Amino acid sequence: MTRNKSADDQFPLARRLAPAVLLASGGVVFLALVDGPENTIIVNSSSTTDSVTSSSSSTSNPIGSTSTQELVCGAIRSTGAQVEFKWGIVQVEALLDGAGELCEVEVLQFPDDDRRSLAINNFALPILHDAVVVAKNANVQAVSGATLTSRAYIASLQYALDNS
Amino acid sequence: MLNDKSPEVRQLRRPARSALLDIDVVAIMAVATMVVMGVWLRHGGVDMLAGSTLDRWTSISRLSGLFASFTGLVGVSLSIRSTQVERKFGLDTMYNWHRILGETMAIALVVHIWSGVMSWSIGTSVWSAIRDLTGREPYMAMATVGAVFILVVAFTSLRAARRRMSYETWYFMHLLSYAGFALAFSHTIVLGGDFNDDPIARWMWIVVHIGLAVWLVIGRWGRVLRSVWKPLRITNLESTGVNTVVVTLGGHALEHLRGDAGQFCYLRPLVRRAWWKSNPYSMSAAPSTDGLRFTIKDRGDASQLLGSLPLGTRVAVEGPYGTCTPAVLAGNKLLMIAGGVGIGPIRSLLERIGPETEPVILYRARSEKELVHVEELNELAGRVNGRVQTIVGPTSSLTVKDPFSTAVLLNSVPDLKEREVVVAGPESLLFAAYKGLRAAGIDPLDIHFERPWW
Repeated sequence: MTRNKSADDQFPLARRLAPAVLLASGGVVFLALVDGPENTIIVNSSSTTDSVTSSSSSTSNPIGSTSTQELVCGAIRSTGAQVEFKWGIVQVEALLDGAGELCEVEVLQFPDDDRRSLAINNFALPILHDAVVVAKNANVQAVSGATLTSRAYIASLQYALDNS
Repeated sequence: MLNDKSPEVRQLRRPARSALLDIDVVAIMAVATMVVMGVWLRHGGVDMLAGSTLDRWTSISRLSGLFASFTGLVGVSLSIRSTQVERKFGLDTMYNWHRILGETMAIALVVHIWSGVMSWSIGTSVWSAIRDLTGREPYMAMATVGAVFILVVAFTSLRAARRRMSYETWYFMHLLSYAGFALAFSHTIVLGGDFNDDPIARWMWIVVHIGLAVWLVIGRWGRVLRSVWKPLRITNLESTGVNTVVVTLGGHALEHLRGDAGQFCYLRPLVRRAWWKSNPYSMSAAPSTDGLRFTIKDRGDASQLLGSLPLGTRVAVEGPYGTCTPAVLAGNKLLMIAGGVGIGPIRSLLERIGPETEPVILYRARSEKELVHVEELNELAGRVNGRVQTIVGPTSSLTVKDPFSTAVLLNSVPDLKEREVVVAGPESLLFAAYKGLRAAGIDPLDIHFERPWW
């Protein structure tokens, strides 16, 4: 307490502010270094393939099989946008039945260039898959711990549904 | 010298009673707790506890996060020093709760971070989950910095750490908790299942935070500005005893103040070297239009400075605070125990109590020289049929081992059990006296004192 008496007398306020200011600057520097939170999602590619599975209709008789064809999952396939986010690119394909209901989602592309992304996707993508298939739309919660991946997945799927 | 009550000298208006009732406080806290628990329950908190390992850690993380926010928000709201709350509980109790809530929040925060890391580590390693605190998720890096701020604030408030730094160093560090709350806020509404997808909960959360921020700015910082805007001036300085000064503050701004004997104020000398220092001092006279009088012992830079300022120096005054006023005394007979400059509030109380109290004043000091206001005390005590008894000398030199043991107290005050007690002085004296009084069978509600909070 008495050790730095002279310094204390000269700059009493500065000395007392120093620890708080140092800590605050440390926080600012840290935030600058870790590149800040990027939560913007860029829709990179607008490539959609509206492939109605008319190929199967060649073998079928139009009246008899309409009802069964409507129930076939994948009667309509719609490719979602490539969505770029902080950790890579996600693209999904929506499979709809003949009535236009979402019944299955396939992941065409996901970030797999680092182990951490792979681990996260391995747990998050199945959860998202199950959630959207049950909901039959893209209005599902983000998976905790994979918020950005979830958002990209949902955005890609929404694009697919909007364009189906 | 005592003021002979000339006609112009008026007592200041007494502080208003708090409009808050016990039931209000209980209701507010119950509703707030239910809302916070409700947010967790509404989003499947319990089901998730019984679910997969991921769900379980996520649920724990959400609950502890909510709880940390809740205790933190209540803790911050206490530091606003709302008049209604202060009049009801007193600043000492509020700051003790502030401390308890703050430390609870720190523990909840550690649980929150740990369970969050555990939930992220599934399918990968704990180490990489810890690395993700730097921002794999949106706003996570900000939240991490916020948490570091909050934890540093909590750690520096632990007694052992707090003692090693000056009050202001600690205080400026404490201000970082505002930044901590602000930085952590975004992650609470963007991540997790509580405020992310539920518009009602989300808006409730945003409104609560904005409301508190507005209250804090107006209530806490507005009060500081007002005290600086309308300061009092030093109208008299006298030195007395050992390193002790009697400072009187007066001025037009007095007319706006309300206060009573036994209270204390925060004083901020408006001079270049000290405008950033605001410290509490007890009033040593009942506040009147004559001024506010403080008897201040030189304990360090701030208290030393007050005695060395020229007359007329402006001093910003916040308060008065404190509930140990004549209003809490039921008109029973009184025992008043004072140590050192703790005699200040006792002396001011003596001005405002009736002759039926027949007060016995036990005044403890380390040496004869340290006794202050003795003549005034004798005169004031005489007016209300009281007597002053001094206990002087270092503890080792006293004829009794503990001057506040039950036996010694009963010896000097045979009718101890019929009396209400007011104690003022350093922490060690408060504890010693409290222990002796409790052992003598005095009801805790009949022992009045300002609880130490740092």
